[in-house]
Amino acid sequence: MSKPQIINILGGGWITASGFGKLIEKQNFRLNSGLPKTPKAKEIFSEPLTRYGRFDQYTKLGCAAIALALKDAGINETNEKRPVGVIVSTVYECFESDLMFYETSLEDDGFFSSPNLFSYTLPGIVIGESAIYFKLTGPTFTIGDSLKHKGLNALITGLDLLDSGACDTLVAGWLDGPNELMKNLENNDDQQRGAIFLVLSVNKNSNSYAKIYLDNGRPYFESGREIKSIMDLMK
Amino acid sequence: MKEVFFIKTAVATGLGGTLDENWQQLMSAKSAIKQINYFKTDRLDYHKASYVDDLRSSPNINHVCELTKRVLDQIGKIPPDTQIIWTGIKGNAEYIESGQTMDKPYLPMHYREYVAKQLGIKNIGLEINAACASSTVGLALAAQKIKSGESRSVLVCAADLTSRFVHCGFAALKALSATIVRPFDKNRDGLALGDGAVAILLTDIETAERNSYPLLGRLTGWGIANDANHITGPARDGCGLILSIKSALKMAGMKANEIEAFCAHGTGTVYNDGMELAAVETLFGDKNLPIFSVKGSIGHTLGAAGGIEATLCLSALKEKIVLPTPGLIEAEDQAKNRISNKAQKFAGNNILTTNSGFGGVNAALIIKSV
Repeated sequence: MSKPQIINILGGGWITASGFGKLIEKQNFRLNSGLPKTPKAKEIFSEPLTRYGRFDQYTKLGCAAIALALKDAGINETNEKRPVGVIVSTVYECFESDLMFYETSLEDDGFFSSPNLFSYTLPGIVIGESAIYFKLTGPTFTIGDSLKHKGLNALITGLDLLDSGACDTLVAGWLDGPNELMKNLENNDDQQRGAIFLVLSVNKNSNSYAKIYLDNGRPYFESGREIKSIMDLMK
Repeated sequence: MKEVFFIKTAVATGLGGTLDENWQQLMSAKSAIKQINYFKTDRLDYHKASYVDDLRSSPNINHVCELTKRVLDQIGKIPPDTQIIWTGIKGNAEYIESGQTMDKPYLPMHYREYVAKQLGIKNIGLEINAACASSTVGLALAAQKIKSGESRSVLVCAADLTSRFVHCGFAALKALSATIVRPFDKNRDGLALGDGAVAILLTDIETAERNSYPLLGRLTGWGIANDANHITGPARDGCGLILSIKSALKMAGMKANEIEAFCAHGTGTVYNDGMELAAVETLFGDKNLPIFSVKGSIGHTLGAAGGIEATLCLSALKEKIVLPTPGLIEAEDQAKNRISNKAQKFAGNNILTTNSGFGGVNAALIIKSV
């Protein structure tokens, strides 16, 4: 058996009901029940993100948290495309936006269906918007998760992709936005909503917060302690 | 690192309920795209899709599950340690259209639970959403899990339907064809949606031998990349698709000129097909690489598309035939001598298949005959 590859956590960003911040400010991190207040664009983005106002809440939340993570890692500013991937774990995806689009399709047998709202009825659009703004060209997709293990599947899959050489750096984490329009929430729903993203890399930089690795499909700290939730990395 | 093999496949589309039926119809360049008769399209400019005729005869059932069940019934018994990857992307549309009155499944995780239950599998796995490249990405991740030794056996499964929800959305984006779907044609004007379900079992060689499974093909390379261009439109130069194909070639240890046929995403929209031809030009130069697209026949089956097309590639490798591209009348200049509305013979052993989706994602697979 070859020795597992050590992966560095270069930065992180979070937005929860208690506020928002970078991993360097994790002493302020709390994940409470309730809806996060999405930051204004000027609070997060160095360069104007003109489309931000058109985003649905899910996309705003995710894009802002990814921006915080990249800024924390010191790799947010660039003029050139770079092979950085993004993997988003989510349970409810963009269900709220689906319902909002559907409402527009009801009138006059679909004649007034909103093209802008339809564009946000896929959970990976948040990744597309982030990829455009931050010029990210690595592997990108969303992955399902359980309510209990927020972000764990993104973390595991991200480590797997880094081990495979698919890219050197990627952003992985959890995103679940508002879903007040949805009637059937899961029985075990803790009503916690927000976004937490980490920047994982095979490369070190001066910002490295922690070293982790993947062994037989499970993530571990360098010390050998198993990571059971992305929340373990926020402590 | 372990090799990854295709072991079992099953598909169901508007063209037929089995792979054999689909292959035979596709060989004749038949199309299942027809007037939609289960929701009103009078106020839209687009009225056609490919759909499974007998799927909606019972109104009060989950039709995504019904179509999924049809492919799972064909897959039959699989190893109990198989992991499920669900790659259907709009399974919640029926739930939404019912006024949120349907029972589970509606979330993606419910669908993978449904598949696991149907097959008696304990490892309910995960679901992937990469828009219209979802099952392509699902197959890539499944292969990665087998290659690394994390899993011995993975079932990638998807179903997506031509729902009113999705049809209205694509109509609003003006991405649908008002005439005939004709990928890579000079006068192409859009896509048609299609019902589709697929299930594909991948395993390592030890699992295949232990269960006496015949090998259908080998997945030798895969790549995933974003073009960072626009959320609903591809980069015109095909830069994201090129990156994904280059990654797949590198993993397979191949050069571009060793690819012998290309199963394109080929939706029939002006921008998608133009982007793909730009990528072909960049990567393959003036090589007469045979290209085909099946979406003029079965429509665009969203999350299931990549899996259905991978399955058809296995048949193409076995039969040594590149399928016709239905609907094609006058090929784009860059597609001339590469694409045909008739079946083409080819002697190759390596097929490239790719898909691209909203959000800028592109994914490529290289499939080798065994």
